[in-house]
Amino acid sequence: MNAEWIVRRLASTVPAAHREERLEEWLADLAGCEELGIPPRHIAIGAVASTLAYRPAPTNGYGMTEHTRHALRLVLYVATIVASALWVWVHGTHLSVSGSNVSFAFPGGAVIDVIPVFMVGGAVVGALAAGFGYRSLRLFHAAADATHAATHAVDA
Amino acid sequence: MQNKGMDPIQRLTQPTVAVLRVLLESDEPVWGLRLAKLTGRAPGSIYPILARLEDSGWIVGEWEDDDERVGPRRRTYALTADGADRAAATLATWDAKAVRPASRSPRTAQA
Repeated sequence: MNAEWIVRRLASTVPAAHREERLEEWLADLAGCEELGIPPRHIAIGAVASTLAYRPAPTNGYGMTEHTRHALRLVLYVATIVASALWVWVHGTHLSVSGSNVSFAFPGGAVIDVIPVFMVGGAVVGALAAGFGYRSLRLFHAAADATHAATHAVDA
Repeated sequence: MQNKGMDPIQRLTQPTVAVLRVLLESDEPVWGLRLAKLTGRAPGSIYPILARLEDSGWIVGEWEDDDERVGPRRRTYALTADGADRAAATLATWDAKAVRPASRSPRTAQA
């Protein structure tokens, strides 16, 4: 994954009215950043910041978008539910610690290690978070495009 | 980007002031990435500021006209006429408040 791949992916989430402009600006900055001594990753980070902070017309403000906030809130809920379920699961069964190995036993006698479960669970929650975040950005900008088009249709 | 007239800056921050200062002191449009370099700020803080200032009508972005360079065009920025007037007034207010020890930083520029 390089900086150009990142900015191209980010540009695809920008509202259509600004998409080509943003992409060309970021690509030009990537092409010329070394002459200013700026690492390409800073351009990618800048593109991320700009994409997350951009809120197009009609509000014209900047800050985290409402849709991004909803996505983050949803991820927080999911993480809380998963953590709570794991806590109840662990404390509702027999938890044993042996050295660096933490395991618990089901009433039926089956035993599983806790740490791999947490790692897999964390990876799943992380993937869901990334997916929700990216999808939310796309949905939000699609809605913004539709609003923009409708506004112009009314103006016309 | 369409001109929607001049809107007040809702959040006047130090990076925004730095950008306005560089643009005000420059006689020609400045490449967006060079603004990051000149202000000592990361592109991550400069890009949103430029977009916000452009949407507010304080600055105008144009594509650099350089036939010798191949590839994507660089985006340059300059203050609009009204933007220059407001930027000068805003910076004067900012600097005046900055020298007052007990003063609070201005959060909104209504100049």
